[in-house]
Amino acid sequence: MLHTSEGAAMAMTDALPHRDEDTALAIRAKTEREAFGMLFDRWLPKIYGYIYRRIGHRETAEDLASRAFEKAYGAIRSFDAKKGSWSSWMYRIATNVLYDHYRVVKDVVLLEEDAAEAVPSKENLNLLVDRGFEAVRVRAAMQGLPERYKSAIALRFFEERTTEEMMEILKVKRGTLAVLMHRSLRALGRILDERPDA
Amino acid sequence: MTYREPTPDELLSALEGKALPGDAHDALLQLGHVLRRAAPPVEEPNMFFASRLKAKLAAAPMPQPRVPIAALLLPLVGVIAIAAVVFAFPRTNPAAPAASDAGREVAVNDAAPKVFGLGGELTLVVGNVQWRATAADAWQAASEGAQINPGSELDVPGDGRAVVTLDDGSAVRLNGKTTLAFASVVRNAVEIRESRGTAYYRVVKDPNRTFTVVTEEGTVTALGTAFAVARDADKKTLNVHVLESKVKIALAKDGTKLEKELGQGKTLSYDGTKSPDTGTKESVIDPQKIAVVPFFAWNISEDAKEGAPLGIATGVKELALATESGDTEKVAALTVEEKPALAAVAPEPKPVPAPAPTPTSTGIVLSGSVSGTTAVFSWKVNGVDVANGFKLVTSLTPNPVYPGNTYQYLSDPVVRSYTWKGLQGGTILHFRVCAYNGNGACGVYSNDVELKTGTVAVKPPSGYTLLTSGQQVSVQQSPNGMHISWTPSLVANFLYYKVVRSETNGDLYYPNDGYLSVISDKSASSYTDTTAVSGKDYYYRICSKDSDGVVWCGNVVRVTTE
Repeated sequence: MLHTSEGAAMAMTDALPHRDEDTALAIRAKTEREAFGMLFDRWLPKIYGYIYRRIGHRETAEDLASRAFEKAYGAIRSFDAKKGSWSSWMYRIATNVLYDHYRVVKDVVLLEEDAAEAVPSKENLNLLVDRGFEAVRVRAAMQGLPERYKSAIALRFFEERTTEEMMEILKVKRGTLAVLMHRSLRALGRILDERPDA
Repeated sequence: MTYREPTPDELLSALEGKALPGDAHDALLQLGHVLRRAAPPVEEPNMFFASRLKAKLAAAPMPQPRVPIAALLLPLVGVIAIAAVVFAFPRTNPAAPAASDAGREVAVNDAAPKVFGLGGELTLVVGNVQWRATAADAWQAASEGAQINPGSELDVPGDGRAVVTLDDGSAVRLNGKTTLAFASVVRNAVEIRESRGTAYYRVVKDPNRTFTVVTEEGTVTALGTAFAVARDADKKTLNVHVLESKVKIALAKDGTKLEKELGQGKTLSYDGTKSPDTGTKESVIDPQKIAVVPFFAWNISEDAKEGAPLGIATGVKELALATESGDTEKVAALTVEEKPALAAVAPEPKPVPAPAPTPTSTGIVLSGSVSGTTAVFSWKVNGVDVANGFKLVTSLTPNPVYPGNTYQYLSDPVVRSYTWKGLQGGTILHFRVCAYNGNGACGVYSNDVELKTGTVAVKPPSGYTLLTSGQQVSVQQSPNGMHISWTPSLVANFLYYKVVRSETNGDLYYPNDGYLSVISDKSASSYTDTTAVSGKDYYYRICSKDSDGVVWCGNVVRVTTE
């Protein structure tokens, strides 16, 4: 309930049509602890899942999910529904937490972004797809990608985020996202192309 | 017909469900389909983890409002006001996070333009860091993202570290054993009270805002600069080191005032028990020396990463980065190169065993000297049975004993000297030597020798210090990978663990053999290596790094994966 002048202020800036129930809850969470608790219950599985799929290690995923929610809680006052949904905001925090994590564990990026410029041949790619290479090998190949590419692929294909959501999460324009998706898939194709047994 | 690769726009449209042009091949699109099916399975988060985290969040203070007035004004004043304020408070520091199209590195708080208020956020927590909203509240464990508002206080009781980033991009970095109170954090004035310890201030240039650090002995005012303030609350001493640009210092005691400007590359030391007229001393900072001090190495590295001006540290960036990353070989190489220059400025004393005085009566007399983290001892024995050799014991407090304190056993009865390498850096240590009785105890003890070790390890020959207790590792194969567990570290000024693995080196250590994971939680005791391949031999070890940059490693375990 917004009784104070501060609450009134927030009601003015946040009294905008919001896209979904979660975003409405996030606006309430600026002043109500319980609203954040509800968001937590609804979103922990999604964010934990997003991180777990990227990390593949339960304890680390728990640690990073904790960090993401602690950051979200600390920054909830700066959540701005005019700039995007709660979902995009929360995924963005989780994505930044993943970047921070990989910045510390530096030995994970095997392929520089420039090296992804080489084009895999269409024939080889089709051959690989025809062979029905298993999920395990695709995921193994993904480990060799730069973090930005991994985020783009994971958000699109694992988390099934839409183009609009990805633009908000990654803070990019449509054209930049198109290039990013194109490069990510091409780089992944190239790794599979070069290492059919990867 | 030859097929071309789809353009990025065509590919994105196709991923949204539109058809690809007829002459574009669909290989990348097919790869997308494979990826959808390849999404790794994930279980629900563990319920204990979920409930613990929820309880932690529920116990955290509700984030404080920062800009209520701005929120009221915004819809009324509109675009003109924003433009005016942005103009009045330009972001001029390259260290300030800039908006990035790439999305990467975009801080959460940049989601909203904060042109009116000036808040801050705790952006790094290493080790135990305590936070409270005001002096009237109870201290509580701080976590990254905690808000810094007027009245907020931070304390790093042990050897941890913390970074506060203010909304204008200015950074305040706290060393261990440091307490700060953010008395004022508003747009035109930042005032921080430093009651003890050492903090580094990287201040964004802003002519419309004053930035003042207040201590009991005096105040330091900056416009745009990088400086460190170190206060010893017990001795009432204040040291101000200016790394870039300049600061204004005002000291006052018993009606005597002293105001002066301290320029780049200078240190001002003030003994707060004396009058400012007689108690101050100004000296020149040797960049080579500060670059190997862990706290400064960390700050120089952070500033370098952020692209902030380094001032006198410009020439020692590499040395600071090597010190910060624990690359002892590089530190040694860079330091050796500079040795002649260094020696000309301040000759480094070599550890030489001082001649031990002859005991005039029955007993053992010990003497010792130290250089860096290596101490050299010699002793004389008169009328004591030393058939079972000696125990050389050390502790942080006077009169160490065996058993009970850290020791070296020297079983040779004729030995009368010893060089102890890899001691804890930057601390006062006490030593005694005693005659071992062969039955788990010591008989006669020598006098106590007090030595102060240097702040950086003089490159130990093996690159690490071996621990025989704490960080003792065992490895078991589990369905998820190799499960590594260890006993907690006993290293006092612990910063983080490094889980180290090698396929070939049985004497593996960090940084020589890289690492699988870095863990800053001292109470952590396990890690699962999911990347081990079956049918291979691996060596595992748990190393840790302390705030003096010393690397400590436990035992080595060799396993063959099934």
